[in-house]
Amino acid sequence: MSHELKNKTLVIFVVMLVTLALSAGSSLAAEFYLRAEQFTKTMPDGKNITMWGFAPDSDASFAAPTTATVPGPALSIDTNDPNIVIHLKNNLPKPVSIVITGLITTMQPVFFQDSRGRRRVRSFTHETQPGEIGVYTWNNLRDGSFIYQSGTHPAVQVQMGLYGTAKLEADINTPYAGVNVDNEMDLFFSEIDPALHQAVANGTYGSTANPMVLSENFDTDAGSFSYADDTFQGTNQPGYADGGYTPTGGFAGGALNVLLGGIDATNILGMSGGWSAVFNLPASTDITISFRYNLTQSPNYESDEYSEALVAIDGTLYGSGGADYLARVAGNGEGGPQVTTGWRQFTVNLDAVAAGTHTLTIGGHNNKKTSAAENTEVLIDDVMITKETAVTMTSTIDYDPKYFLINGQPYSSAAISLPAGMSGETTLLRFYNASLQSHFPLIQNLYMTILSENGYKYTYPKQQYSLVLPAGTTKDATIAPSQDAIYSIYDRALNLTNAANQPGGMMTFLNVGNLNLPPVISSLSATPDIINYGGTTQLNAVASDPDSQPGPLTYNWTVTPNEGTFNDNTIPNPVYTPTTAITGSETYSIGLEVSDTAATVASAINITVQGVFLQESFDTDAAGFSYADDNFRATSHPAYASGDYIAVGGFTGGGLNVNLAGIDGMHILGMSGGWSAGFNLTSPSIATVSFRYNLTQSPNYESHEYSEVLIAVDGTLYGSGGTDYVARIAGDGEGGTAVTTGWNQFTVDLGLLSAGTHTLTIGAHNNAKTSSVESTEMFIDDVIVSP
Amino acid sequence: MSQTKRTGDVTMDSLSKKTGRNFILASAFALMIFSSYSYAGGVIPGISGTTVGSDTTFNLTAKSGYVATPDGGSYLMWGYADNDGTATMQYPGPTLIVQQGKTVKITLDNELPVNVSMVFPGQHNVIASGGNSDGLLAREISPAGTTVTYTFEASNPGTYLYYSGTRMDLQVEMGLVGAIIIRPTGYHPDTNRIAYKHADSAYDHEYLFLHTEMDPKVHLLVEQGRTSEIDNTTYSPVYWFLNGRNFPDTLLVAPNSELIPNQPYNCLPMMHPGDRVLMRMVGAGRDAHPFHPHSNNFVSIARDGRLLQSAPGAGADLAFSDYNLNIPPGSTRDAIFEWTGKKLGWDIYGHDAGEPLQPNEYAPDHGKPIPVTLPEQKDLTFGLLYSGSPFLGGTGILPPGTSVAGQVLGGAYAQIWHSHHEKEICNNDIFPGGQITFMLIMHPDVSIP
Repeated sequence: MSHELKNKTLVIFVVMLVTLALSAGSSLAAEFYLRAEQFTKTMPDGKNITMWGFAPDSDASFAAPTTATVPGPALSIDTNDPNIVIHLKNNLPKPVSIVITGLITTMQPVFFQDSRGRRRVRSFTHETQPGEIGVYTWNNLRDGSFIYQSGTHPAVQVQMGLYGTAKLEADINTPYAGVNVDNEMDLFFSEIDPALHQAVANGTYGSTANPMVLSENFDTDAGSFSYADDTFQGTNQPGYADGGYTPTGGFAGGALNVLLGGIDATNILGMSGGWSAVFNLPASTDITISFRYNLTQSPNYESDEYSEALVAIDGTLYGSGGADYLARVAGNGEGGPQVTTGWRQFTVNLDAVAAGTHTLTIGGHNNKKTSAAENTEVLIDDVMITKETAVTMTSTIDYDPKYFLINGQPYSSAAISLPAGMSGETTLLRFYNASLQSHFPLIQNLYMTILSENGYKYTYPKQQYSLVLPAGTTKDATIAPSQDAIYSIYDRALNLTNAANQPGGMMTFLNVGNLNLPPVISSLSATPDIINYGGTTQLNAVASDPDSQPGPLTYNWTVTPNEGTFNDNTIPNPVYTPTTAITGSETYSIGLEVSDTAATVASAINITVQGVFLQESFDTDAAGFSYADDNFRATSHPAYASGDYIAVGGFTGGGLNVNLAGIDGMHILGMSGGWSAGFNLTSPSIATVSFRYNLTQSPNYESHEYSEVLIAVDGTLYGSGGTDYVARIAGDGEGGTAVTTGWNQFTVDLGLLSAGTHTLTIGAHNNAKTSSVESTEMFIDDVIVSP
Repeated sequence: MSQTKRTGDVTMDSLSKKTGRNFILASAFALMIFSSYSYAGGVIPGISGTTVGSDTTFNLTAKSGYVATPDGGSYLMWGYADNDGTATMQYPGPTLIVQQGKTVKITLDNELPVNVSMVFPGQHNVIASGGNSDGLLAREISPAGTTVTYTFEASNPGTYLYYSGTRMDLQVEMGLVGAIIIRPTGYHPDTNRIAYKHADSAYDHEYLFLHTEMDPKVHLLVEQGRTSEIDNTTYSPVYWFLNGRNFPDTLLVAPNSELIPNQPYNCLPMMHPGDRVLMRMVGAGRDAHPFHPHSNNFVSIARDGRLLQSAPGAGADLAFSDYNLNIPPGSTRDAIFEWTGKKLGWDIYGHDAGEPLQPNEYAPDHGKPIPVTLPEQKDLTFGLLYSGSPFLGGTGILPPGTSVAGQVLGGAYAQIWHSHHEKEICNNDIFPGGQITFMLIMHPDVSIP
């Protein structure tokens, strides 16, 4: 490795959406600075994927304001250089490394011992720990297309996105000695299995399973366990129970023991002892408890004298086979041999153990002893409590990719075609496959000359329109199109969807001749697409330019017939408002033209505007409405009802009012007044009426004195909530406050009305007043009768 | 070789005395393919369109229909139908056979409920006219829309394919695929059978091996109008096809309008010892299939319609011998297969000393006895194709109730040819099935239909 470090140029090619290419081009070392980082990538269907990727950096401070990409920065390496040096800063939570498959270098594999004691490889070469900086060097350079990728736990880390291209060539546009091309481009195939990425993001992938809560093997001491007498079955014979640590005699090494009985010839009923440890769960968790035990009764116990091995969590016993003990042994009489379970392992799974502190107790119980020679021993070893983490995935055995990428992007309608030189030129296509399965790139309307595989040039290039691109492989091919055209390349294994959405996947387009591609309008919507006259609709268009040239997209909205207005007809999402009142229903065609200045595409959507049979907002006068007293509830007190047009005080602008009651101190029952207008239907129609009202009773009304908002069509009342009134308010007694509905809008479906003229009446009714200061006022505004 | 004569053995001579030199092979036996057929022996069936001057015109319609699988399944398929012929939806679509140099014009009509189109990998400058909309990869015709015509010049001979360029992940699976054969200038069906313009591609018989596969759940969802529920990423085929049929239907008479009207092509290669058989292999589905002929290697001569040559005009000088060829999806492979029984160390005809050599017989083994003591009948189990004699063209007495297929074939050697993805030789979990067929090596006196 050279000690003369050189600043390298960071060249940004706008070949793909954004591909960062790190170019070396020195006669010394090709030296690069990369960071391994986590980032989020959004798929065309909106799915966010947690990725690991490489970010380009410029120097050893690793402070460049760059972001990680998939694939990582393209490394461009001059094979006249003596070596490649990559400085890797690891900003991921796991150790990573970099290997370049196909380039020979000295590897320093990292081994570990698995749970069965086997030596296994975790990393093909030396790892860079989280937060650390590692250096990777290659001295034997040769021309070709290579994939650099993580060499650590590659089954996961490569799939997570730690991959990129390393292009090695002695001269620009000379991929191999004697092969000259005019242009070069990368086509990098990879895949995403969202489940694996989610598991890694959640920390539930593979080895994070079953973290230990408590583990004691008693090889040096009793650990966190402490002994107590009479821990089980309510016994109370501390003199006949004991426990101790034994440095030998365990299943392996030391163990804990519990000794019961013996001591003297006294007949004793019920002895127990146990070892306890406390453990804590930060959250409710499924746990597994396992330990080994060995229960032995000495000779001489009778058959009605038994001993048990017991385990309890927080005082609750857990046993096997439906019992509350792990094992029970009984005596076989005077002079018989000892009885033992031998070493056994017991495992119990406990679901949803509550968060907090818990006590595990393991020990023994003997129901009876009658002799000094009758004693019981329980040995305990290898106690473990593990937390069962929801492991979603432990390997790629169920690998199930849902997204299929070329150059880090699955196809979408927003995809941009790739500049691929001009007709008459030769363009090198460097194919890379970092996915976990073969792909079959096929180019339409062209043949490729297949030059090389994994950086080894074929002696005899072959003419093919498709090629087999196995996982982990690179292939180089040239095209020499004779015509300027857009040439499609796609995976003939038909991975052409983004999850279940099509089109998508591994499909891209080569733009030979720098042809302009017209914009694409991928969606056009109006919300809602049926509006009443007087309403508006929100238009929204999504358009993109497959080649981002020659200019930015411009929008031009029109309406046919020329009716209505846009708040701005040059933006993607204007608001449309019809301007001419109509009585029927009209359909307008809203047209959109999108242009990239060289090409214009058009689309259209229909808007249905429903006219109105009657519409008044009373901003200048009462319009067609006229006032009359006593038009509701058969009232007959015209002197206590009146109505006026008001120029201000409507919901907006002017409105109508109805005034009831007041006047004098007379007790009056039943007052009403209302405004009427006629509307005409040329044919039987379903009609809806809506209006705004504001009903107010003055203070002092009693609770049995109420006022109502009423609406009638041809004398029939329409109300809300099963009543025949729109709203009703009642008084709150002498000295109380005014009661008001405030402004409300009421809409009611009138159903099918016959053709002809109908009369709409809107007004108020007050059932009783007993004072001159009891008065009712109602305002009316914005009356619409519509289909 | 009297020492190997078997009780009940029928020599070629005695057989020919009984039946005449040309065996009578037509039979009601379902296995048999031998019936009156209009083309000469060992020529791939297909359609040649209408040629006027330099233009060769085809009229196709995309239609739906049903294909049958040997396990009794019946599945909705979309396919291309030949409007100038049966007008029946077929799987795969008609094999289009054209002459090099012709301008090919393919007009597509559409009776499907979706837009469809055609793409032609390996063809240059495909121009579309008519139709209703520009799809991502090809000009499309909408349902009952305006016909679209694709025009290209058949500039290079070879084996190619076509398929829908519209929502390929679904439509290729649904059956909108077919083969194209461009015959080289100088080709003559009787006097000059060549695949490319070089003698290295000369052959006596040609057979198509068009590989596809099927995931029935896709077809059921389409049939039930639940297309939106299809998730291409859960694709998992359980049927595998050669020329649109699963074994044993690959061997069934073709066409067979009664039993499988929408699958007109079978896949039953036949040859005489020493014949050169051109295998035209097409990956029309979405998986690669390693195709494996038993009994001898083949010589791979072309890929994607191009001879494996070191330089133009060099012939197939980069051809290689192999016994298993991966057929990638969308790609084509051509190979030449030959078999003479050379160096078996025994005489495949069971000749007596002094009898004349058969054509292409490997002379050093002439008259050599088969190096085993043939077991007696009671010690044998009888397979479907055993003729009663181990010798080519030989027949023998078979126990009552035994299949006479082998005798009807005149003691042909039946060599299994199959996908070496072994799961692909099943029909929806039932073995045998899928991509299996048999190469029938026939006695030289048996004419190949």
